[in-house]
Amino acid sequence: MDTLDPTRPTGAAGATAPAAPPPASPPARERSRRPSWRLLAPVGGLYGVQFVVPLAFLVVMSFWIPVAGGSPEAGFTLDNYRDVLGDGFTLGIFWRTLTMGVATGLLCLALGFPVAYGIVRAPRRWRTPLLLLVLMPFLVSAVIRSFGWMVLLADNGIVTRLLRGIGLVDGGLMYTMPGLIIAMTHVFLPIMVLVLYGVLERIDPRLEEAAANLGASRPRTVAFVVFPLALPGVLAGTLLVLTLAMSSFVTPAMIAGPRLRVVATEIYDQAVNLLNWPLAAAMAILLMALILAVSALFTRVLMRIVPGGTR
Amino acid sequence: MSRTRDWPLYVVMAVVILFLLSPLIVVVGASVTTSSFLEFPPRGFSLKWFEEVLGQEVWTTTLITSVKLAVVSMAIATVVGIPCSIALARGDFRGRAAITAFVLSPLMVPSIVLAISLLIIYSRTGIDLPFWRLALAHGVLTAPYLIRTLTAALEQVDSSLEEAARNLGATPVGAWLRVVLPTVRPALIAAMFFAFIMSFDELVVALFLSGPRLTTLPMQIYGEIQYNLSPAIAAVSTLLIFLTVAGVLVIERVLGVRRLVR
Repeated sequence: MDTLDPTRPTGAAGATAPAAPPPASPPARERSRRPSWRLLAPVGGLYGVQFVVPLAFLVVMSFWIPVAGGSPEAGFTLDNYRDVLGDGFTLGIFWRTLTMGVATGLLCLALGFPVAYGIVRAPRRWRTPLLLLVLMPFLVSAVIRSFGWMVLLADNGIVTRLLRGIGLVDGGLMYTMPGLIIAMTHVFLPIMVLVLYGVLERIDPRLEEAAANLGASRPRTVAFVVFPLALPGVLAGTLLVLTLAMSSFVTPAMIAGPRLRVVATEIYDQAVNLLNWPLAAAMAILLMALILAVSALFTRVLMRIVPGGTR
Repeated sequence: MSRTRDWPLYVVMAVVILFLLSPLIVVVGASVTTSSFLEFPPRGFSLKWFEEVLGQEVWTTTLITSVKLAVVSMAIATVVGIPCSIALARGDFRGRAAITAFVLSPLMVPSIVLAISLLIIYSRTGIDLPFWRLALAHGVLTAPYLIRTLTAALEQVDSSLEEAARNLGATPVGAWLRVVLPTVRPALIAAMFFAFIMSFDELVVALFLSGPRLTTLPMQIYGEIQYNLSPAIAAVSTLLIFLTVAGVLVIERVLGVRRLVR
């Protein structure tokens, strides 16, 4: 599954973290100044075996020498990175992954903001049913949702016929970038709505009433009062969706197919079908680097907009 | 503020929510067709595809595999997550921020990257226990969510309650189980439910790690879609959609939807 996160987005809702240290706890059981290693040992053990060591070995593997049809040879070469970065085809895959991520993030924001805002300002009894409607598709497997899109986007699918009817497309949407972005937007939209809901819920409605009393229309109020206040959450949510979209495998594999590769599907192909682990490892590391670079860029923007940072 | 002028907002909301539900509606619709290929709107109405699916052993065996896997990885996430959350919620020790960041770091790593690294390491070491390596991997994927939710809940608990129990003679474990656990139970159940669903739905790591002898339900659906596209897949998917909806509604009844949103 594409990693999902309804519980709490990075940064966006970080403000709900315990504001103050718990009510003046007496030093009876002295609030430990050092971590309890015994309590941390299980998680440390699990992560060590299943997370730290494998990732470290992935880095090592990315410098090994691939052997056609055999297991890679230990050594040190930069050829794998050179093969990825020096090749127009793979660079194109990285570029497509980035644009797909950006398009998905922006579309999710455009569709998610009105929904989240509408739920926050809806009459109280409507809020839970509306949230459930957003949450349900989110908890259904991405495989099933993408399968639904395969039916919708097929040559005779409803969405294709609809868009053809208004002259937006002329062929089927399966195996095309627009089709992929529609399906990706669907997969990640609930996350965006949940992040924005958490942020918008905390904006004092009296601010909007004040704006309305001063004669501002609802759209003006949202644009000049609500949106700026929600900006940290907007950026955090967009970043979250963008990074998840860039690393997602299921939907691109099903909707875009082998003709329209993204980094995740290419890694799968190299690792499982072509057994070129060193190259797949280099691609995986470059994907993480790309995601980190995009995150760093977003964080810089965020810091500039929000005085004093986000947390 | 007047509600009458809000109708454009409600129209947009309705359209977007319809967009969110559309693939689910289509899958459910396509599952009752009488024809032998996928189409929406369906042709006629029949439950023959459900009959076919329920009669085929692959679907029940893969379903059982996926449920077992989800239960075991949820248990792993819970067993490592509870002590870790207690440690994090308790102390303002030096390095707490660093440890928290480390514990949550699997959230930052794309599952495709974790999947390829686990594939490489397991192939190199020759460990061939497909179920257990997959369960442990899912444990890593889900533990951060559980730890984050539970730590936040534990931080809200007044520590004097636990101290009172200790002063009255309870053991540390007893005090935790009988005093602290009940107050954070809703958060814990919501987090465990989420861990279960995540593992049950997970495809990427499963594709890399399962090997030829283990097939989970999402893998089976994914494979069928590639080689044998028929309304039977829609029938299986419909059953899963109904199960998920039922699960969400139960959790909503018991804990309230806010537990899942937060």
